[in-house]
Amino acid sequence: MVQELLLEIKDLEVNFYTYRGVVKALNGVNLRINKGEFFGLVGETGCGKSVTASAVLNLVQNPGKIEKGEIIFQGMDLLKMDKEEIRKNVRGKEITMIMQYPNAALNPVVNNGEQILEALIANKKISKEAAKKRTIELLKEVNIPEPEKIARQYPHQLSGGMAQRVMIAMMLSTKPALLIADEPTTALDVSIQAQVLTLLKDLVEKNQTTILLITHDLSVVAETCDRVGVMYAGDMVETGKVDQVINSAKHPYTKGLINAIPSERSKELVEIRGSVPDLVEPPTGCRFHPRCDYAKTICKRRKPQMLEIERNHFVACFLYENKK
Amino acid sequence: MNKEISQNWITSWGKRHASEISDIKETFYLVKKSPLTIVGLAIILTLVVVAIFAPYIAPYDPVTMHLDKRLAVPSKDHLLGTDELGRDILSRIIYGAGVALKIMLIVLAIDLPLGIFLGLIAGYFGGWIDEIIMRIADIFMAFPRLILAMAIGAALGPNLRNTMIAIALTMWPVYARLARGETLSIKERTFIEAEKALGSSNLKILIFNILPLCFSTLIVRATLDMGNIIRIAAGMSFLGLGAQPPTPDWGLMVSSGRNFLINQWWVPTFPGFAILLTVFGFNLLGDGIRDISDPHLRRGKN
Repeated sequence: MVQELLLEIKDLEVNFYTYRGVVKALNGVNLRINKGEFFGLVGETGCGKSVTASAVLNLVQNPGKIEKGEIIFQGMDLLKMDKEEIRKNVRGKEITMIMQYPNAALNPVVNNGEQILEALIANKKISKEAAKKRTIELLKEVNIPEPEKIARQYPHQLSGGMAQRVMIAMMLSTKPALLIADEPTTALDVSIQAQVLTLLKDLVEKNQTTILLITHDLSVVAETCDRVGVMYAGDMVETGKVDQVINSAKHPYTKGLINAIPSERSKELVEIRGSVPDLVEPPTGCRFHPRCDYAKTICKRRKPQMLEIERNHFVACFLYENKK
Repeated sequence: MNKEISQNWITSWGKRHASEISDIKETFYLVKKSPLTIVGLAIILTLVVVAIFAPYIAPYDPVTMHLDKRLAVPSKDHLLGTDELGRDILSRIIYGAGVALKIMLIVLAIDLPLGIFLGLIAGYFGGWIDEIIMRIADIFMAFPRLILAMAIGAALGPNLRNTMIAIALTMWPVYARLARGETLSIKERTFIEAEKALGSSNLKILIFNILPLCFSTLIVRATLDMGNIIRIAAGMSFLGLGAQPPTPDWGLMVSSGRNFLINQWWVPTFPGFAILLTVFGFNLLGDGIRDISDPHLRRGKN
C-alpha cells in the first residue's frame, strides 16, 4: 500500500520567552503522518506534545514563538502562510482539534446543537435547515443516543463522555483532513475512555480521517494507534509502528516508559530515575542522558540523530549508531 | 380529539423545555425566600406603573400654577400639599417618576453598549489597545463621579439632555472595566481555544462566545447602578445643572422647596422621600438579582 504523506514536521523549534529565561520547549522535532493514519504521540507532561499540536494549528500562544522548522501540510508550508489565511482555510476546515476537558471546551451558554450548527454554517455555505439536519446526523455518527434531545441540552447537562462526543461531532462537522486529539480521554473514566477511543478508531476506518492522538498513556496508544512517536523533553526519541515500538522498544526512555506500566509480570513498579529536566537549561547533547542507564560520554556532547533501525522504525540514540 | 392533540402538544412542549421551566421555577422560589427583594421589586414595579400611567393617576396637571393656593397644607384636595407656585406636589412627584426613569434608562442605554464594546475590545486584544482604553477610563474614574458630572454638565450647559450625557460619561468606565475583566478570564477558557481550533474569527468569538458570558455580571452591576444614576441626576438638578423649571424633577423640587423647609416642610420633604424610596428600591432589587443569579445559591443542575 502506498502511503500518502499528509503532515510533515521538519526540525520544529519552539521557544517560550519567560521571566526565568528561554524555555526550549521543542528542540527540532521531526514527524511524518500519512493519510488515513492513527498516529499516537506519547510523552510525559511538559515534553512538548501539546506545543507540537498548537504549532500545527498555528496557535502557539504568547510568550511562545516558533523559531524555525517547517510544517508541511498537504504540500503547503503552514509556517510560511499568512495567519489570516490559515484561520480561514486551514484551521477548522482541514485541521481541527479536540481537547482534554470536553465540558470546558464547549460554550456553556449555547446548547449543543446550536454549537455544531454554528460551526457548520461558519465553515460551509449551507442553509439553516440543512445544517440542522446535518447536526443531528453528526450526533448520530458519534453514537449519541437521542440526538434530538442532546442537541437541545446545554453542555453542563452532559457527562464527560457525551460532551466529548459532541465535541468530536463539532470538530468533524467540516470533514477535516486531520483531527488532533489532545488527551481526549484523560478526563474520562476508563469505560467511557474505551468508548471514545473506539469511536475515534471507527472514524479513521470509515471516514478516512487522519488522527493525531496526543496522550501520556502508552496503553491507550497500544490499543488504538497505527504508528506512534515518543517524545522526551522537546525531542522526538523514537517513532515506529505500534508493535515495533511497544514490543521491541529501542530507546532507553521508551523502554523505561513501558517498564513503568504496572503489569501482571512485574509486581513491582519500575520507575525511571531522576525527573524531567528544566527546559530553561536543558541537558547538553541527548536531553535524556542524565537519567539514562546507558549514557556514554558522547551523549553529553552531541544530539543523536534519528536512525532507521528497522523499516519505519526510527530511534534517536547513540546506542545504535554503530550497529546500523 | 382536537383537545387531545393540543394537550399532547403542551405536554411535549413542557418536556422539551423541562430544564428552562425548572430554572424559572427556581428563580421564583429564590425570590420568594428573600423578602427584601420582593420589597424592592414592589417599589420598582409601582414606580414603573406610576410613571407609565402618570396622566391617568395624577389628580392635577404638574405645571399649571394656582397662585391662589400657594404652599397649601396637605389636605383632602392636595394630599401632599402644594408648592410655592400652587402646583400639586403629589402630581409633580407622579410625573417626576417618569423623568427619573427616563434619565436612568437613557444613561444605561448609552453606557452599557459603550462600556461593553470598549471593555471587550480592551480585554480581548490587549496590548496597546487595552492600554489606551483603560487609561482613558482611569482618567474618568480619577474624579469623584458627582464632581465630574457637574463639571461636564456645567461645560455643556444646564439642561436635562446634557445631564444625561454628563452622567453617561462618568459611568462608562465602570462597565468597560467589568467587561474587560470578564473578557480576560473568559478568553483563557478552553472553549475559546476550541473555537479558535475551529477557525472562528475574532469577531465571532467576541460576539458569540464572550459577550453572552459577560452579560450576567454587567446586568447585575447595571441594576445596582440604576439607583445611583437617579441619585446623581437628582443631585445635578438640585444644584441647578440638570432639569430646568418647570420640569417636575424630584431634585429640582427639593432644591426649590428647601427655602420653605422650616415652615412648609412638605414642599421639599415629599420629593426627597420619593428619591430615597426609589434609590432604596433599586438597591434592594440589585442586591436581590445578584444573590439570585449567584450560581452558588442555586441547586445542582440536572
